[in-house]
Amino acid sequence: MDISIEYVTRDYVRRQSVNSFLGDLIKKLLKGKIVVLEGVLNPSIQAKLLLEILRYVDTYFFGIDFKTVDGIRSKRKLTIIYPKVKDRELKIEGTSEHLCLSITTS
Amino acid sequence: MILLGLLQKILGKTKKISVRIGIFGEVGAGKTTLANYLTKNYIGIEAGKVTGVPHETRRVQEVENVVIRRNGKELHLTIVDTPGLATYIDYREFMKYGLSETEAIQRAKEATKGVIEALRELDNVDVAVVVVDSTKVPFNQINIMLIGNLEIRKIPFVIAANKIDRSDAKPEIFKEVFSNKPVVPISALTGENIDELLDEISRRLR
Repeated sequence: MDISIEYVTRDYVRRQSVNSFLGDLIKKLLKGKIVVLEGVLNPSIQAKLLLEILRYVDTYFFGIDFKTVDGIRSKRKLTIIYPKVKDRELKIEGTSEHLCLSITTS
Repeated sequence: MILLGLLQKILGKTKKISVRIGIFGEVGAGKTTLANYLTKNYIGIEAGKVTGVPHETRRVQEVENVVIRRNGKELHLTIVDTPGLATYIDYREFMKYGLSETEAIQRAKEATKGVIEALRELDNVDVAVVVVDSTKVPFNQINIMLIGNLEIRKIPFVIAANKIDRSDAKPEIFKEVFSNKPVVPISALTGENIDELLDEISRRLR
């Protein structure tokens, strides 16, 4: 199974409208991509994302999960958004300066 | 304000306020237990069923005409008990509670719809109680998203740090983490501090 991770900068997000950003994000997550976002996701966008993506929940795709990691030396935050699927587990460790994603497939 | 309250008491005048109060929170935080405590105490009926199985509440449940008198105000409440919020629903979790695969898949479908209903309900309430499980860590994605959305919508809210009847409860951590927000440690099971929670809610209503 292919595992793909996409890094999205704050600038890239700023250049898009909320709807186009959300549409793009949903497409990525439904394709099984792990999205690492620079900064944090606004709570209202989180709610919109959930409202949209939960419509796709089935016996393989269970929804999504988020985790925000802080930096130790910098104030930079990263938000990892990833699909929760039947045959894959993601473990997130580290900081925004040194991030480690461990993926277990079954 | 104190003088006004006293005058209202003497004259027997209370300000009537009709309020739609939403009870929100993550799965298993004790939302239905709190709704039941309020509705049973004030009008003698239960808002919903409580079991140990996650996502027991899968539809928004409303109980109208719950009249509570606090601080010179007569609150006519519609209590809205919402399904637990989650970012994902794995049907296999329900099978651990003895459900068959078919039943678990059906429950997951209903629970997913319930989360969507609960999120939509954020636009329909006048005041919110965010129920959090004080035996767990305060910062989780659901609590952050929920509180953030209430703030963006300018909906007054109170955080109810529930389950203080349990020995592993740490409501003081919630008070510390959410120090600029109203946090009331409660036990929806025993009713401890529910009066303080109602006082805090009534303070947030004009």
